[in-house]
Amino acid sequence: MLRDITLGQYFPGNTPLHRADPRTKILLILAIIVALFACDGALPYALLAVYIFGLVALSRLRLRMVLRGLKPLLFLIAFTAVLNLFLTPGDDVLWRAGAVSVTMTGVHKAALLVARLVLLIVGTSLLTYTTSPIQLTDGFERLFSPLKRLRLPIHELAMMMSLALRFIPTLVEETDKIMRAQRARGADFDSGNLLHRARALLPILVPLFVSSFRRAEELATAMECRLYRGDVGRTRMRQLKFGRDDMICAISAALFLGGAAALQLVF
Amino acid sequence: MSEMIRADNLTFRYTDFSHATHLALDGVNLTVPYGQFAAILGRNGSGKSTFAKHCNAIALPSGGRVLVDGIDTGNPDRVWDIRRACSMVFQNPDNQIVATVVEEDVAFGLENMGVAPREIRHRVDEALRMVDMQDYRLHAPHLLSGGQKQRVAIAGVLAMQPKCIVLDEPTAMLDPRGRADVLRVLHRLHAQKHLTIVLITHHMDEAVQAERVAVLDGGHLLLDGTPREIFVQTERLRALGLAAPQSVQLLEALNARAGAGLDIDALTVEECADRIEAWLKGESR
Amino acid sequence: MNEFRREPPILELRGLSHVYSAGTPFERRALDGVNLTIKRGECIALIGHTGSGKSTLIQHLNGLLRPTQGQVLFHGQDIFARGADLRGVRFRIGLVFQYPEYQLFEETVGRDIAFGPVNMGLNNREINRRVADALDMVGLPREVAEKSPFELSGGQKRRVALAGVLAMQPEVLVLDEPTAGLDPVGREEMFALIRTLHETRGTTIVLVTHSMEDAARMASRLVVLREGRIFLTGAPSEVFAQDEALTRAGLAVPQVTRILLELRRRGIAVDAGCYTVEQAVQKLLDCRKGGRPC
Repeated sequence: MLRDITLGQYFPGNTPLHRADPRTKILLILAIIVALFACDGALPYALLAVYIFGLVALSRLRLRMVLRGLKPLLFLIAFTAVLNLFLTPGDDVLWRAGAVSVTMTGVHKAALLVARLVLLIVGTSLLTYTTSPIQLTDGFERLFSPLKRLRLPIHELAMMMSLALRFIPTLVEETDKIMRAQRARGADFDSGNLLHRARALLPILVPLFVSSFRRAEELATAMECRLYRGDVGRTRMRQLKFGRDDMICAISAALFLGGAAALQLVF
Repeated sequence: MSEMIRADNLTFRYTDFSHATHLALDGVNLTVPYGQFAAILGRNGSGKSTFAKHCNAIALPSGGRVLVDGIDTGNPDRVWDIRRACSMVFQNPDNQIVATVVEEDVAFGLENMGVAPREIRHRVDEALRMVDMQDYRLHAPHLLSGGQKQRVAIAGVLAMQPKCIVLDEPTAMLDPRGRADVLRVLHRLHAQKHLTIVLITHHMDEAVQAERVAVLDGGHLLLDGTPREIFVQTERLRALGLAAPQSVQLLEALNARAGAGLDIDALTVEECADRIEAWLKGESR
Repeated sequence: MNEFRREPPILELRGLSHVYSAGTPFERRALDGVNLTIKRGECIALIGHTGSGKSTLIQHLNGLLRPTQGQVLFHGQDIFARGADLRGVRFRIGLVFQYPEYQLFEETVGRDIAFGPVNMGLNNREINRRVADALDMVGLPREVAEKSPFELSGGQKRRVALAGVLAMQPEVLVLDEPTAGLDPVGREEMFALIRTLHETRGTTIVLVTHSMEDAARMASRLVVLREGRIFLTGAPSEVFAQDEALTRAGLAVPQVTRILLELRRRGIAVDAGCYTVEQAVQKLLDCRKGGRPC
């Protein structure tokens, strides 16, 4: 069950999107997000969808894997879509039953919302699928490093992010292991009321807490032994520079996002 | 300054849950010269891991002193130098890998040292080659086996080009194949890079391959010598909860049961077979 | 007599296969058509290096994993059959995972051990009796029941975790690497404990290990897994004679076996199917008594 979570996982590859500078990619995704919120017409959305799924194809990611990332949020998407569909007031009523009605505006809003959420998730997961978490935090750190002057702990935040990403699979695996062990002693996580279920989580959470603290302590020692002392005098193996792949990203973004903006304005 | 590690009358005290004080190390005198492959053997609670922590200034002596590469670990201004000279690998490979890609983890120490990017690249590749993990350089560590993770951890400290690597039970969580791979890599580093290796273990068969064996028990250094000197003391080892190699036990049993009169200090299969073969042939003649 | 003959084996695996992450890039066939029969009161060892499928296999024994194909029969009944009581099976087939001490969670040792019995729905008197009995079995004083598990030493914690499974009084006890990370003394104690359980309570034991030596000392039958299939099976002496096959499977045979095999290679007619120093001494004495070595 826990194994099915693919959101936030990196799939190594050697495509322009994989090779591009993480800063470029972060900016690209930010631009896509802005475009998704700025547009609401069918045509600009079609263009954005073509662009985003085009990027998926370009990075040779399996469509099925990408769509699976939607699974955990499917309920949320369906829920908000239904709310919008039935509860949007308007004059252009298509169907009515008592207090509930479906309006043309509602259909439009619901469709836009679904498209927006799906494209948002696919777009952002593009970033995590094609960028190793350490590159991602690296990009984040460098992109926002001017903020260090304002005494914002950018390096520390980036390090925390990267350690969290490093240990998520380890902890998922461990949770799985503890669950199985408690199940072997007859623990039941799937039935009973909410209170019962919450209590049933204790046999998982306590060992997980204990082991996480132990891991944290050992990791801190190991990092000290490898001469980590924060941001002081650090260098990086991976040099980031603006190359051909970044050009591809930038130009494609300019064309498609610009196109979407134009369509939005014209129609 | 002829010793990599020198512990003079080292004592370490700690307090447990019930506020009782224990001596994890009690007056240990132990020196490891440059370039030696030393094994420190002992059962759980013998103080062997505590000793390892003193080699890297992770723990500081309650009494006595420790010199690493000639530097007193009690000097807070020199901790950086001590840790550059002497690196450490821990038991749980998961809890010492920082990065989500193998090669980036190996680079971590070098980045902290402020090494130039081009040089980092070079040293990372070299270190991964030394531990036979170059094919995995872009893999995610959590998908590797225990033995592979431990070799990545070794590459991570190796890239920092220390004079000495102290390994605290690096094979305790590994399967036989992983253990053999790690041991092979350690012997290669010792032979080719002339690194000082201090291997903390409770596996007798790993200690047999070392140049020198020190046995700790109850915080005391009880035996110290070459494997051949140590592993013939079968009774003494048994009393310490450790076992002699089966080759030694077998020869000793043959002497006891059949008065074979064989030298018992055979540590390898071949040596032992040589002696038994000679005995069998001699008897039948 | 007839009655006895007709008794089905306590556990039987039929054509068991398991595929992880089917349909993803991480798809992996961990088990591939495994057939295995375990008789009541038997002590078998399941051997294989990491990734051989042994951990996957044992999780099918009490229904923690569902087979992709094949069946698991407990007393002749398919445990995955519609309407079968899977949770009930888990109380009767105890599974002790690797490093079980990391699963302790209760405030006191006693309450942690009682977790299984409480889930079984037993009454308080029976639960207390079982907790005390389980502590006796693992050789811990009863006063420990009042302590926090986190005050204990590593070895003691592992015993508590084991007691937590024993308190369910399972008919079959499956142990995954019970001696992992223990020193020689701790290992001896753990094996003595398992042996007592087997001998005095008649518990059927399935021991998972990657140590051939431990397997041979404990079990009357060895099952060697490799790449998800049964690779070798038989009595220890039969399996050990297959030195080269075992090495290929990534398993190390005991040094004393290798010494005898080396002697055989040199043309000395000594029986190499043994794995302890005592056995080897006997074989060598027999060989010498038998007159001229060939």
